[in-house]
Amino acid sequence: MIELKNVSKNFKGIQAAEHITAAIREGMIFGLIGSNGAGKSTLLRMICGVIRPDEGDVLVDGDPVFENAAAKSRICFLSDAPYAFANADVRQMRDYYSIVYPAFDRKLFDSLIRRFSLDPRRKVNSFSKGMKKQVSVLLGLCSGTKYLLCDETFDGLDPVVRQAVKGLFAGELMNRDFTPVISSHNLRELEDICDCIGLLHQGKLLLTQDLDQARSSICKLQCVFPDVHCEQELLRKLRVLKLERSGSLLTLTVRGAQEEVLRLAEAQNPLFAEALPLTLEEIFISETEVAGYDIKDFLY
Amino acid sequence: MTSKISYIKLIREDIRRRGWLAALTGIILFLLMPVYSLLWLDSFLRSVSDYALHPEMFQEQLFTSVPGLISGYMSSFLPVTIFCLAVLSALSGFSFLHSRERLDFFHAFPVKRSQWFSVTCAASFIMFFVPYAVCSALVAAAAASRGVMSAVLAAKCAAAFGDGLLAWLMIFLACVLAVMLTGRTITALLASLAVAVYPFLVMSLFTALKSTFFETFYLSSESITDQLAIYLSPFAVFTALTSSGAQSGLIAARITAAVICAVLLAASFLLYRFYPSEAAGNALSFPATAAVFKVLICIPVSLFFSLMIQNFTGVSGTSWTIGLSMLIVVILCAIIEFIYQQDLRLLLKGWRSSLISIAGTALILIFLQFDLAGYDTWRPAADRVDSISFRPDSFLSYFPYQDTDADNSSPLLYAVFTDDIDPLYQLALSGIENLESGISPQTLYQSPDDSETAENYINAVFCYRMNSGRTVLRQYCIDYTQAQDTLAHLCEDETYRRSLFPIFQTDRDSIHSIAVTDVYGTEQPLHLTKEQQNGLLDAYEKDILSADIQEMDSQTPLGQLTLYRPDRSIAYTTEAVSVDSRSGSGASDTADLISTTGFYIYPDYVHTLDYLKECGYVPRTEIAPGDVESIDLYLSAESVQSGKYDDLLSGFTDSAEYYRTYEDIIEQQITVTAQEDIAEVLEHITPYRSFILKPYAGAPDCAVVNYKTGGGYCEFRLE
Repeated sequence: MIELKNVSKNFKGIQAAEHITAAIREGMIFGLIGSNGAGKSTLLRMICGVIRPDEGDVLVDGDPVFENAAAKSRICFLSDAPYAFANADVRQMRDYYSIVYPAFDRKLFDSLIRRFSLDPRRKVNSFSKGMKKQVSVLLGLCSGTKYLLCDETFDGLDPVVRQAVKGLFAGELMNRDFTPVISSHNLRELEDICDCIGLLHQGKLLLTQDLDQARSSICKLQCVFPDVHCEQELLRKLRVLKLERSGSLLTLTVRGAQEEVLRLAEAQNPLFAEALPLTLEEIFISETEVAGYDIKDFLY
Repeated sequence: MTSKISYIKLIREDIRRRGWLAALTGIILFLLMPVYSLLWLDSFLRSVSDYALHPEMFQEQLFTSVPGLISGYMSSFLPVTIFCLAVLSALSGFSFLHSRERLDFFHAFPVKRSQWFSVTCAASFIMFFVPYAVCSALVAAAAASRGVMSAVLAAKCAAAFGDGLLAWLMIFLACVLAVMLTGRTITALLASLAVAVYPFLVMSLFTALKSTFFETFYLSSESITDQLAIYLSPFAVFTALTSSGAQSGLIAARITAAVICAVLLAASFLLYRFYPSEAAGNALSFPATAAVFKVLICIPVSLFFSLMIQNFTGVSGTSWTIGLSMLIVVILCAIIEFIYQQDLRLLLKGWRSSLISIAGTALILIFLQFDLAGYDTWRPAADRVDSISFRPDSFLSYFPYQDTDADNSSPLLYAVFTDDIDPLYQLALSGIENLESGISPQTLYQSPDDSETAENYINAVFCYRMNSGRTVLRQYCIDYTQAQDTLAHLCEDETYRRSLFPIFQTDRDSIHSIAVTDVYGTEQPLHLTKEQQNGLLDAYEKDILSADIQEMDSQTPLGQLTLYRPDRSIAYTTEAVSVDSRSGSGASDTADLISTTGFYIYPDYVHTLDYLKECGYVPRTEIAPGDVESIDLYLSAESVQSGKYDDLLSGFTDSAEYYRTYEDIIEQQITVTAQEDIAEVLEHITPYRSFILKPYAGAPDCAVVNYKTGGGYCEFRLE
């Protein structure tokens, strides 16, 4: 488990991370969402031990990570700008990774390179941005580390490759002790892959939530009632996060399971009632608004 | 785990990644070492045709030259190359710290910073060591193939190899330290320069500023700050290591280099451990140090550049120093702030540090300008002085020092200390009084030769040896007569007199021959046995011991003795040494000898003159016109315009030839060949000579007398 305990980092007066406390559990895909400058990269760089927090602790399986090679050997960090040695081809990068990560799976890497139709003899710096990211992801995936930190790695991958990578992640999760942490500024990129999401805003971690739990605990109710009394009775029984009225159509964002909310609505004899699941984006907008933040502007 | 990641594999990968550097090193060193060595050796052996017959004659030179082909002494390109390769190695090895992408890449790996540091340093070292070792071996092999190798030379080559390696390592580590202090490669380069030369710059300022602002300062090559300037500065030590041929005198430089390397290595390693990864792209890695560095750089650099500009332009005066320093410190503050901020609009952001820099520079200049420490008026308490010596400027030209190939740059060369301190102490006090009344050494140097100051005063360096063992030097302008009286008083002590006159320190066993020069100015070798040589020197010493100092300073000598000794330092050369720059004859049989002239023979040196007479030599006192073929007169523009020699020139016959020259000083040359003209000119000439206390007043007008016999000539002063 990766634990962040009251972690803060300041760059030239800019608070890139402010008293962040969170835990990333093993065996799940953790998504880190936030706008540009929210502190995602800083947080990942602190987790992988590249930068030292100004205060607080970053623990990987209970060990502090900064300048701790043993702890860092359990982490592979894929930067948002993948770096490859000048003139190095794919094989040379593979060889280098296999030196620094003794558990690097060369066979798997070679097979994946073939599967992704990447020329192993080609210089990495001659690849397109997306292809470089593919190589980077494959190197990280094959490094055999328990944690794989991907900083905006999925941005720039085409949908086919993205699906393929998601499949690979799923496969690794099945086969070994593997915990990817993926950051992105695009919530839709992550909603179909992550098990848990952390939302960063201006250096603060607004919330972390299990996606299934989030989806099951909040829903949207659209209903029309014959009289105001029934409507008021329903509103009293529900935990309403948001209320919108369009003519006689009432649209509510409420906390609770979809079936339970619909049952409560139907008990008031509505003319029309329908409970709908929320998209991840809607869930986050609602949750953060409740927390007092207006994040609509930075969610795509 | 860290232990599983092999150092060797990481080093190998680093070398592979920076293979271009290894290739570049190999190619350049190959061209500059074995290839250049073969060319030099062939050229050398061709120029000394008798090497095969007398190889021992050339041993000394080869002992310096062949190791110099390895350390860089024999080619200025090699030290420059070693320097550049060291900088390249450091920057290419650690430049990842200045790029966020690369820094993230490397620092995210499960490798500790200490391991990265070791790996990069080791890989860089190997990439220089291997080609340098191979090329050094090839140089030695080239020398061996030409038959000039010996066990001693091989050892010297090995030492030179070590020097080159040490020099490279020192610059490499200086650059590594600079990289650790910065976040951008361009600032790293500037910081490398600063790390390499900063100690030299700061230490040399002590001497330079004292020399500029203090009238009584006398430059001593033995000053602690000057020594520190050499031994604290990586660049100065680098120069010492690469500009010599593995000589024994390098031991101090080697030890210093090793210490500097150790310090730089430790500092770099520590800084890397604390290097903030977020520093990549910033000017400095530790922003808190920005103001400190700015102040530390601005103050000394502004003073240094101010003095340097004055030196180059020839402008003197402390007002210029102050003005230029203040201007430069402002410009430097702006430049450094721009380097920090990369934004012209933010030049005043670090205004506090700029203000401190400007104020610091101003304070130093005020301190010096008004001599707030009382440097010029300093006088030691008499009870704290153990002994004093004084050395008028005239000693330098008057006294021949026997060991001319020794360290004659020492200001204490002619310092004869006396514990009879009172006369010299009083003389020094009079110098301070003169200074306070405006008569300073600089005033005297700038006075015309015929001025009252020049006629009545002389400059002298006083060396106080304190009870603590410390020596303090001061230069004062003192009254000539008072100095003469003091010297005469001191010379009443035979021990002092013996110490003062170099003839008493001459190693008689080393004397090969003696020549005498009379009024003709041409040397005549004396064919003396060793016993006769000693007899002549005994007589000369006897005369000196009984001579009157005041008389010596007023009489015109009849001639002078010249002592010849074998010159070990030029044993290998095939060219003879000219033993008298003004004399064109008499030295043909003195090849491989060095001369010491200036043992003047005065008219009252009766013992010497008698002994010379016994040996069959009587010095001539007048030049016979019949012995002279021609005389060339060289007249200065000033003399021509003033009509100083009109009477002389008007009496010349028509045979006199006039030439107009276009040199800076000499305007007219006249050659006279007629006997009556020659006789007339001989009336107006006197030999060049030095006075024991009076500084030699150089005259721009001279006459070169060309003799009939032997084709000799001699230059005289025209009066």
